[in-house]
Amino acid sequence: MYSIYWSMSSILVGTSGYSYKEWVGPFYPLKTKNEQYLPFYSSYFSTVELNFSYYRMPNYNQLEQMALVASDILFSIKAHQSLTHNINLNSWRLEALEYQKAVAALAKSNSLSAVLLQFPYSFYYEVQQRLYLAKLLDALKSFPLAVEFRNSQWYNNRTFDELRRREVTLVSLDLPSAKNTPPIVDVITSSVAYLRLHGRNERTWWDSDTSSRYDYLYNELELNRIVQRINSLATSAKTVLVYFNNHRNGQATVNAKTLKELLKRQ
Amino acid sequence: MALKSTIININIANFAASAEIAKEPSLAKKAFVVAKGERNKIILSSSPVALSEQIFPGMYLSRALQIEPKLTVLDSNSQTNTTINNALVKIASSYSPTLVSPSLGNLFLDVKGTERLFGEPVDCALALKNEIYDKLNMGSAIAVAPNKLVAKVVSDTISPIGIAQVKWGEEASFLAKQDLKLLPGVGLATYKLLNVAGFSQIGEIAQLSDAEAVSLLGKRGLSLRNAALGLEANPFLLDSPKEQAIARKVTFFEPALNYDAILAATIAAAEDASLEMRKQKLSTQTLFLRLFWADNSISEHKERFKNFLTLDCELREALSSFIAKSLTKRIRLKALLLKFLDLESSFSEVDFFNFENITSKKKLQNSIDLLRSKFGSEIIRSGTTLYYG
Repeated sequence: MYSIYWSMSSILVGTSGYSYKEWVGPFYPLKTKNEQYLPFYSSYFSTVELNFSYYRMPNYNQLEQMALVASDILFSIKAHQSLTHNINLNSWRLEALEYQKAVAALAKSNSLSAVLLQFPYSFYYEVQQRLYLAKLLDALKSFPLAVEFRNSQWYNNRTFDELRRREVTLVSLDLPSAKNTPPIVDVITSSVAYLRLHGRNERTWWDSDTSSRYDYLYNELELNRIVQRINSLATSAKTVLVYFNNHRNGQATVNAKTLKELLKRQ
Repeated sequence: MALKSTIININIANFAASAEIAKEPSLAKKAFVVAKGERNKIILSSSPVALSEQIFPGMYLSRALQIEPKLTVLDSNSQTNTTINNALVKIASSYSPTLVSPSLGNLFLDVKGTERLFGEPVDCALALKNEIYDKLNMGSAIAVAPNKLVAKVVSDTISPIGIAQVKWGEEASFLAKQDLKLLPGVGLATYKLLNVAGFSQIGEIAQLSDAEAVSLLGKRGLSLRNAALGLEANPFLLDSPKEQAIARKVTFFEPALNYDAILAATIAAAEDASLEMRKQKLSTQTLFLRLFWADNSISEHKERFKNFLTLDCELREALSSFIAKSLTKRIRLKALLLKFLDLESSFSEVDFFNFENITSKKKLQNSIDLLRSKFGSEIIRSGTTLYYG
């Protein structure tokens, strides 16, 4: 496997998730079985963002097996929803501990690039949420952490300063320009930059199912602009992780491949 | 529809140190400072490595050397700073000719109308940021915003390195959670005062009413409150409003001698000019008059008023006395040129004793302006202009 270098930075491109049945045909050859997805994926991309971990708590053996099957790639892994979306202030520590034990498998095999904490729009910049976030970051501090905010209130100098102090990455986003979506903010707060590309489907962003929301194919002009953004991140970060989340019908893989080519051509 | 301005602010933090690195790239990996002073040297600027060792601008050099004995010390070099800043301006000017650099390492560009060349403003900003890094080895904080004030706050928020965009209509919401000390106009003393009063975020000032803002912060209260809302007093990038003017010329059919006739003509011109002024949401503080006399002489007169003049009624009152003072010759007048100078954004001061009166006058003016915009200036005139016609 290889990485693309620009200046002194390492730029890794992949997709959010890899295990989609609908990718058989557009990306995976016909008749590819589930257990063959990851090895095939790893022949194209040097990193993947695991998002099944949001829906069900991962376990150590499962992640250990993944790291063995795809030993050449780096894994970023999304935090379980009990830590970001459905937070129970009485039990979250137990959830965090369970999550931590599982992710240790990736850390042990040196294949962990980041733990992604993606918070919803309803996670407001209020005292209770700030206190919770501080405790959560403390609980998971043994891992390289990346935080994604969907509520613009978090994009302020105090947040940036605190993330810098903790060396936690602020995730950069590409989203539709719809109401209540966060602004474009690329601020380097650690040695790792993290860019998530959600597609620009303004029509389906709010009030639709997950699949429709991320139904988008970036065109080459847009991808060239994204290259500029990656170059900008690369001037200050040692590693830039780039994940396409427009997973509908394998569009993420099409865009990821094209982006890699564009970065190579520089 | 007129294009809206989009301002890009380039903010190079620790400019002097960055300039030295631009001149000599090998310094990038060194702990060095740029210092100034005779006896007790003060650090003006620190390299990234020095910053990581907690050596900050403003520190005494002696203290810094205790922290890092091997610290390299460079003298402040204004020539280097100017050369590098000029290089920065040259790079930026290829993206927009509408550019100002109010201080070293600090530039504002208006990229209105450049989308066909550079794409969306944020894409333009990215290209610019990358070119600055590529050519000068300088990291920068770049902000894209509807006006200079918001752009500056944004670039300070993300400083030292980053890029951020605030779109039209989102100024107040972005500023809301930012630290109060980032708001232009809030110095140390004001910050302390506001802290004591329980304020720490820009949005808290934005929520003050006119009366509360003045009560808390005095005369500056309104402008600070408006700044907290992301509203800029001086929207112009290149020319300050003081250099801009709105002018009207009146040429008399027959040279005029009668004061009332001259006043009527001037007020008619002023009403036309003031409509243009209010459309741009401006007010004037200075009236200028150039008088062309029948003996071919020219005289010029200027008067600066204590308050800004926005409404027709305010201008009529001001012009009455101004004209009277300016008509110093007993000679007929061939023509006159009226100019509104010292234009500023029209945020009116609150009058504690006359709230309702001001509001009703504004409403009346709005109605008149609406009619004039729709049917032409002649549709409605004040009584004093009827002499001239």
